[in-house]
Amino acid sequence: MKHPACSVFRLICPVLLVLLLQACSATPYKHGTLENSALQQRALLQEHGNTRVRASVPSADEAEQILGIPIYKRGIQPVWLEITNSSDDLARFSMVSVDHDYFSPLEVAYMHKKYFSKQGWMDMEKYLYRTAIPRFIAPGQTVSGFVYTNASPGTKTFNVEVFYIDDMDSFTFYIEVPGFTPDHASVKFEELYRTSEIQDVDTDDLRSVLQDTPCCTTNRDGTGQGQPINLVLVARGREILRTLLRAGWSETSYEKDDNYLNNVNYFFNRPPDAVFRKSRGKSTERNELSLWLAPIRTDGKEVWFAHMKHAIGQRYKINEIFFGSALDPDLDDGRNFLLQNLWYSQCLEALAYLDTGITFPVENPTVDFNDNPFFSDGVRAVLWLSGDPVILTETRNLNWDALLSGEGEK
Amino acid sequence: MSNMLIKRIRLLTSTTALLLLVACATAAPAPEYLKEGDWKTRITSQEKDGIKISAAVPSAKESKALFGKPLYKQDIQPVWLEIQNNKPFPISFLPVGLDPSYYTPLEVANTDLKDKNGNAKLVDEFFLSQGMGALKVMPGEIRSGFVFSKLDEGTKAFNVDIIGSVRDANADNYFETFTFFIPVPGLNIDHYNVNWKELYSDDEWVDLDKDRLIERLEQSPCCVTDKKGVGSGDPINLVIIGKPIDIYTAFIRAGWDETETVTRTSSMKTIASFLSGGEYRYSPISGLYVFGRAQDVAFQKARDNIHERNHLRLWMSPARFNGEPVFLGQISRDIGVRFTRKTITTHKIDPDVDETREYLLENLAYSQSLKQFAYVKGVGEVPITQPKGNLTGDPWFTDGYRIVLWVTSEPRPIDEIELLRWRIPDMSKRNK
Repeated sequence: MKHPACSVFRLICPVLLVLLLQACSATPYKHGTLENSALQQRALLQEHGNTRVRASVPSADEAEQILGIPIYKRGIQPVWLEITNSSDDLARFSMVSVDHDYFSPLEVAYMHKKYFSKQGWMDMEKYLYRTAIPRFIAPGQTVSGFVYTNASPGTKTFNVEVFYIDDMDSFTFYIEVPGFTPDHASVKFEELYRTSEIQDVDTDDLRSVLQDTPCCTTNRDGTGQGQPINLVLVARGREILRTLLRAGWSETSYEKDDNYLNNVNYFFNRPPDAVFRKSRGKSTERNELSLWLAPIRTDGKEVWFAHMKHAIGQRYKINEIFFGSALDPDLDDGRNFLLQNLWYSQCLEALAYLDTGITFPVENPTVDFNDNPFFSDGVRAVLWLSGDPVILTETRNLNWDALLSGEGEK
Repeated sequence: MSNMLIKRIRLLTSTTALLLLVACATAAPAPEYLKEGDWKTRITSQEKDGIKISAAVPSAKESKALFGKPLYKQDIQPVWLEIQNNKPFPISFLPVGLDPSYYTPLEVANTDLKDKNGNAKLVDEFFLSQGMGALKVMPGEIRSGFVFSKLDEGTKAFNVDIIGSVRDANADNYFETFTFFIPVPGLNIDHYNVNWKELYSDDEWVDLDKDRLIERLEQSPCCVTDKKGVGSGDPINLVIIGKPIDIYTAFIRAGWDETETVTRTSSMKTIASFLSGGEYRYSPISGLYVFGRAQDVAFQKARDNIHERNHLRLWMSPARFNGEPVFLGQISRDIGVRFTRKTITTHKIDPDVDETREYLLENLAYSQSLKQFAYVKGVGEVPITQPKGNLTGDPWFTDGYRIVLWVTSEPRPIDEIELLRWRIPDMSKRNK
C-alpha cells in the first residue's frame, strides 16, 4: 500500500508546477552591464590592414550576469567583439566567419522566453538585439557587441573576417575562457627534463632517435601491455596547442585521481601531459588524443609523442577511463585520421613515415592492459606542424619509409 | 581553387568546417524516376589526367541489403568509390575530404555494440574488407571499397581528393579534386516534379536589361499570399538569378537540404520526428504563394545539433536577365515551434528577416556558390517598432530591400565576388 504522503505529493505536484510556471512567466527581465566589465578589460587586440579587432569571451557566470539568461546551458557561447574600420569605405563584418552556425539575437531571446513575463521577453529581445554586433561599419567608425556561437569547452578559437570593396582582413583568435582549467595547465613542462637530458638533433638524426624510442604505452606500474605510439608531432612552443585547436580539437580537464591514473596509458613513466578531444556530436563517437613531451628537440622545435583513441561503441567495463566506450582496434586508421585532419586544417608543414618494424597483425589482435583489442602496421607518422596556414599541396613528404610495402620510396 | 582563397580559409574547426565542393558540377539533377534496386547501375565516373574515379551511393534499402544493418537509421551512408591510378607515381585518397568525420569500418560494424563483459571481439573481417583499406593507390592499380559517411539523403554531394607524392622535395605535390553530386533514391524531392520548361509558354517570357529588371523587381508584390491569393505573408526578400541546375548545385554545395513533397510517407516521417524530437531534414514545408502557385522548390538548412533551421522558397518568374531566369524567393529563420489555431503547430520565425537574408549571402559566399550580388527595393520598410505579421501571425520587420544573388555552379572564390551598386541599403540603422 502506498504511503499517504505519496498521494498528497502527487496532488500537490501539479499545483506547485503551475505556481512555478506562473512565477517564471511573471518574472521581469534584468540584465547587467558591459561598461567597464572585466570582459571588456581583458579583451585581446589584433590589428592589421584597415581593421582593428578586440575580442573577449565571457565565462558562463559572466554571460549570465551580463545578459540575464543562463545562455551556456543552451549550448550557446557569446563572443564579444569590437571592430574599428579605419578605411574610407563601408566595411562588412562576416558573422559566418566566427561560426557558420551562429545564433541570431532574437533566436537566443526566443530560446529563453520561458523564464520571463511577456514584457520581460520583449525587454530581453530589445537588449539582445541592441547588444548584438552589427554587420556594417561606416568609414572611421567602431562597432561592438556579441556574436552568439556554439559553445566549445576550453580555449575559444575563431576567425574574424572583415570585407571591404576590394579587400579583406582576416584574424584568428585563441581566447582562454575563465572557469575552465585545461589539464596541461597543471603540468610544469620546463621541469619535466633536465637540460642535460634533452637531445638536440637535426632532421636526419631525429629519424634514428625516434627509431630507438619504446614502441608502446604501458599501464601505471609499467608492467601491462599498452598500445603503439604511432604519432609524433613536431611543433614550436605554443604552436602545438594552436594547431590542434585550429584542427577542431578541444582541451580536456580530467581530474587526475587514482581511477584515472590506473586506467590511462603511460609513456615515459607518466600519464599524458595533455589530452584533447574531438567528438562527432554523439557521446559514443569521439576521438581522444594524448600527448607526451619528449626529451628531444629538433631545429628549435619540441617533439611530442601522441596516442589516438577512437571510441566506437558502448562497452560496460568497470574502472575504465574511457568508461562506457569500446575503442576502434584499427590504430592505423586513427593515425591516418589525425594526419588528414591536420593536413586539411592547413597545419601540416611536412610529414614522414617511420617503420618501427614492430607490427601487431590484424589476424590475431593483441589485447592491451584494459582488454582493448588492437592491430597496427607498426608505422609511425611524424608530423611537422605549422602555426601559419600551409596549403594542402605545399605539405612536404620527407620520404623516410613507405606506408605500403613494395612502394619503392625507401 | 586559388591559393589565395586557401590561405584565407585560415581556420576550419569542427563547428565551422564547411564542405568545400570545389570542382564544378557534373551530374544533372535527379531524373524523374530514380531506379532503386541495384546501386551498381547508378555508378558514375569522372576522369582527369590519368586518374579515374567512379562513385555510387546505395540507398537506405540497398545499404541494408548490402551490410545487413539499417545504416541510414544510424545516420551512416556508405559511398562506394573506385580509384584507378594511371599516373607514374603513387597517389593517396584522403577520406577526410569526403567527410571530415567519416566512420571507420569497425565503427560501423560495432554501432549496436552493447558489450556487457568488456571482451567483445570488435574486429569484424567483413566490414574491414568492405572499406577502402590503405589510402595509397600504386601506379597501374585500381582500388575500390566503401567510405562510410554522415547521411545526406536527396542528393549526396562530396569531394574525392587525391594527392600524389611527387619525389622532388622542392616541387608542389600533385593535388586533384573530383566533385560528385549524386541523387540517391528514396526521397520524393520537390524539384524532381517541376517541369521547368512548361512553367511558362514562350510568349510569356521577357528578356530584361538592368534598368527594366530593377523596375520589375521593385514593382513585384511585397509578400507571399495564401492559396486563394489573399493575405499578406512573409516578405519576398530574395531574388536569385541562375539556371535551375546552377541554383541546385549552389545550394547543395552550401550545405542546404532538399525538400520532400507531401506524400503519405513524408507525412508519417514528419509526425514521427515531431513526436520523437528527432530530425527530419527533408520535411515538406508549407506552400506559400507567388504567381498564383506554391513555391517551385524549397531548401532547408538545419544545424547539426538542434531543431532550428532556415527555410527558403523559390518561384521561377517569366523574366530573364542576360539569358538566365530570375527567381523570386523568401527566406526565414525558424527559431522555434509554437501552436496556432490555424495550422496546429507552426514554426516561429526570426522577426529580423534582414538578418536571415544577410546570413544567406555569407553562406553562399563562403561556399563559393556566389558570383555577384546587389540590392533592390520592393518590400517597403517595416520598422522594428511597427512589425507586420505573416500568414500565421508571426511578426517581422525589415529595411525593405531585396537581395539579388547570382549563383554559380563553377566555384567562385570569395575575394572575386562582385557587389553591383544598384541600391545601397542604409545598414547603419541596424541594431539601433
